Amino acid sequence: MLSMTQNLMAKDPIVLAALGTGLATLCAGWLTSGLLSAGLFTASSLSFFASCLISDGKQNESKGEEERQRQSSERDFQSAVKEIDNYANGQLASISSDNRDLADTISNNIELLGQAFVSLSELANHQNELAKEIFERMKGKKNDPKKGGKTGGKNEIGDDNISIEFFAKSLDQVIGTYVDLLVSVSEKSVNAVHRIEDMVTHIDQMFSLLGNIQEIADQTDLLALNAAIEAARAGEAGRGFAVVADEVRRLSRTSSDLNTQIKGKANETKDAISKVRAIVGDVASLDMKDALNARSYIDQMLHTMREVNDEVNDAVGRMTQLTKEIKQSVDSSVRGLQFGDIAMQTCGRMLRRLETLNNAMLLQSEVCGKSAQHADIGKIRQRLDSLHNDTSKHGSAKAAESGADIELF
Amino acid sequence: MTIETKVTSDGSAVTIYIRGRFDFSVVNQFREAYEAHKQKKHFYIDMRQTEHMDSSALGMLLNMRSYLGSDAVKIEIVNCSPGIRKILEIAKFDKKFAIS
Repeated sequence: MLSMTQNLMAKDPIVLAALGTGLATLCAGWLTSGLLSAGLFTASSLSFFASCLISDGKQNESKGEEERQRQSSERDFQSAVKEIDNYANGQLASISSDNRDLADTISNNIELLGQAFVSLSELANHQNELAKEIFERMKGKKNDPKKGGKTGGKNEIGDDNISIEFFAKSLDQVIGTYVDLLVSVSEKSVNAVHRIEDMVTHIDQMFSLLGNIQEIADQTDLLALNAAIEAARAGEAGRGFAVVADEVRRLSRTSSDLNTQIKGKANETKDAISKVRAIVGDVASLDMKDALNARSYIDQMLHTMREVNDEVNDAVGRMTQLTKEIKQSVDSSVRGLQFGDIAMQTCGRMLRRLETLNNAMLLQSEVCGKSAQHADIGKIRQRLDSLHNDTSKHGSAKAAESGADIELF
Repeated sequence: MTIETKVTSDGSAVTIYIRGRFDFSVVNQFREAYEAHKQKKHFYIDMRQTEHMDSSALGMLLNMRSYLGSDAVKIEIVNCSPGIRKILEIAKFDKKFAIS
């Protein structure tokens, strides 16, 4: 490759200028792309140019004037090479620094993202637990395990997890008890009314007996009257008998009065009994509508509660499913975050390659500073080999590609 | 008469028809209806024309049952309207009487 460039450079110094423009174009390309490969290509161009320079100085050594001109243009060229070299070095340093910044940014953000996903996962778990708790509470199953999670009818009040269903059942039981009581009261009241009716019958019988007594009294009165008449007819002899007859008549009237009084009291009793009968009747006669309404209201309530329960259960089920999905998404996101490691590794490789490139440029600038006679080719080869070793250490296929690029150099 | 009693042709059963309101106003009529046939072993309470019943009717039915002897006699409540059937069910009469 070196001999080929020597032949090329033998023609004219104008070629130098052409090459200079080519170099500038290449540099511009490198600037715009900012890629390492481009940088390497530029570096190789530089080396090619430097080689041209060396051979140029070697072929023109005869005429003094030409020599001075040539030396002067060589100095210019050397300073241009140095400038380019410095510029390339500056860009390399910038790329290195940018690369480090990029690595830092990626690393920091990956860490942040990782933390965010972990906390998201925890929150999703927490949400899931809450949903389960609501579910259990709605079902009223969150009792102590001794009861086997079963809320029977014997559940005691004071349990802080009374289910709505249990509440409704209890209410239904209370209404059942109330209805039983109502029926029992009615049964006994009707029974009492029957007994009262019996009493009324007895009192009526008493009235007919009292009628008999009245009859006896009336007959006694009549009899006493007859006796008094007969006594008067007997004259003096019947005087004593007349007194007895009067006395009997008085007694029969007293008896009649008493009879009337008893009848009056018995009538009062009958009135009182009929009042009691009415009251007992009121007690017995209760409208069943309230109990009916209460029962149907509870049925309705239970039905609604079951619907609400079902809806809540559904919602909680969906929530659990959603939480699972969130967790899955978070997991795959966390897996996705591994790209961060890959990016970091790539950054590391880039950094090492930049170092190698820097070394290559150092070597190149050294080589450019010397003429072919002064240059120790063996030493240059040795350093080139060590550069090859550096790149092959990176090991990856990409490193091998980079190695091929360096081969051009 | 809101209460009417008929004995079946074979004389084995008695049907008591209750018209209108089955409440305290018929307490004596109803009592007389079954006490008049206390030797019978099978009674039907026909409610096809019963418009309303209150708790005293329940009390009357229970008194009838205990008067006739709950084990010895069969009492069937027939032709109930849905409303009356509901009342009987709430009072758990479906466990004490045959209801249809």
